[in-house]
Amino acid sequence: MKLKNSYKTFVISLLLIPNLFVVVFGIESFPYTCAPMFGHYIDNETPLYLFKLEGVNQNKTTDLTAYLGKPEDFFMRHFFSKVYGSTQAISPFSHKLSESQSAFQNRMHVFFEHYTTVLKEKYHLSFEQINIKAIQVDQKRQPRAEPQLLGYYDGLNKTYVSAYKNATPNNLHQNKTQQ
Amino acid sequence: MSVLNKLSAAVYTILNQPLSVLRFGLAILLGKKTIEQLYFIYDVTDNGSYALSKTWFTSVLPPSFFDFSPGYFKTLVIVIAVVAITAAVGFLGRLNLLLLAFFSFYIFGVSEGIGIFDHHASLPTQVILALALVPGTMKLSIDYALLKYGYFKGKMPFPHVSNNPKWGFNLILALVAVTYFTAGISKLRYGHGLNWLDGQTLGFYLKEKTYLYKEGDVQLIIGDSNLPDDHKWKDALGFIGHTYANYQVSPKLRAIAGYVANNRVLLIALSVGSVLFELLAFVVFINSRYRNIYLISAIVFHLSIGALMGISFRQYRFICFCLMDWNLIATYLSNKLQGFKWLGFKKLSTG
Repeated sequence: MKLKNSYKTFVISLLLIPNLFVVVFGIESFPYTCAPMFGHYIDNETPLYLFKLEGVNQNKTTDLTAYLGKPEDFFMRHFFSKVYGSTQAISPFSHKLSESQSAFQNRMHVFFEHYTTVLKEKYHLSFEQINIKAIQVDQKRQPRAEPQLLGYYDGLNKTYVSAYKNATPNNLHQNKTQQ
Repeated sequence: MSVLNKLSAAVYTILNQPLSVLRFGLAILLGKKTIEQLYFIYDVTDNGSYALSKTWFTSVLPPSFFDFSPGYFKTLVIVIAVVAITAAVGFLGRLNLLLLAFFSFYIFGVSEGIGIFDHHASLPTQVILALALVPGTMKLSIDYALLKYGYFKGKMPFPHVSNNPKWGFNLILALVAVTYFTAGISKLRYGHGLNWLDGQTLGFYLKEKTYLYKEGDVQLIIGDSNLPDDHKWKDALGFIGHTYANYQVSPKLRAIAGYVANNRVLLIALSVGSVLFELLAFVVFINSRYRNIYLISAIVFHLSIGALMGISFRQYRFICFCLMDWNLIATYLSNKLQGFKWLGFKKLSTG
């Protein structure tokens, strides 16, 4: 009887604890999920964007949409969820529980190391730099503004360079202290 | 024993074994979906394992698991098909249920890495794992028949076929309830709190026509114009999530979705109803009547989403169907329809 009760406790814990963990923290990693389907807010004022990658060689740019190696929606969901990440430290689209400048840089580095290899081996393409741009669009994908450069991967130095220099998690604290 | 009595006994036995019925149907459904997902992975040109793509489960697998060569792919398809069928009929049932859960963790984990977390498979995978571990799932199986009539010569030392401990059934019911409950919580947590109930988000998805757009214009990334500047550091825009898709292509169903999307009262009612429905998931534990009402509502909920957005959740519907208290339904029907009295349903042991 004691063995049966121990087994029962073990099985219940094994199946419920991971679920309680993702519910509390609001994250997901298959098959455990906080079920975030449609779990965000979108109204007419919500800015929507398309992410674009473009390769650059000697100031000549190439749209990389045809060279992603997989359907664009899968590529961009992967890129946003696992690589670039939400502005919020914890997001329902991944299983990470914290975010930092160094972790972000590391993920971008690992991602582009792999992606530049895919470009080279599958498409025989290599670039001096790869730009990431965001185009604000409406729901029908009509542009609302000019494409905005988010940053670029420097192929020579193998680093991601952000185009946004106003704040980092590190200097945020300094800015607040100075105020 | 007349044919009618035999039929009645067979129906009674089946109704008494919801977990066996669930095992049979869900193993087939999940096995089929896992194989379909494997084809999808195989078809994607770049299916290599990004270091960043791995789930908690796939990160412990050796690199050879991610090299989907033609030979490996064909072997996997055959193995998963055999595992799913043997788990369904209950031949080495628990072992094959465990293997099916393993393949599901593995294949859908790789799929998540490629870019799509398949929510169709998340709850069914956990239910298959639960079925492998809880009592009462193998009473209608080849294993049970072999043990009873082969090894024990018809004199089973185990409890009667209808005596299943309730905790296994309740654990699976809890997995279902947690899944719906957390979906409601996520809408409030990530959807600007009660603002989600204004119907705008639902309206957006009902109007969405993902299938219309060419490569490069499909996946939208969501920004947040209210985000304070000191919360932005990766870029000046502040991205918070990606959108989901609406795959419905039927003109008639799209017209209905369009009508709903343009009716503000309906949108608010459906949004409030959806969140309330999800948050009230634990009513399934109050009693059988509430459980049946909730699970039937869940099936209708998924059928509506399927009609308006092209997302079927067939496996969820089957799980809900099996977890209903069929004794209560049968009793209700036999009381209403005198002609059903000959079935003579007895009280089920599933609570």
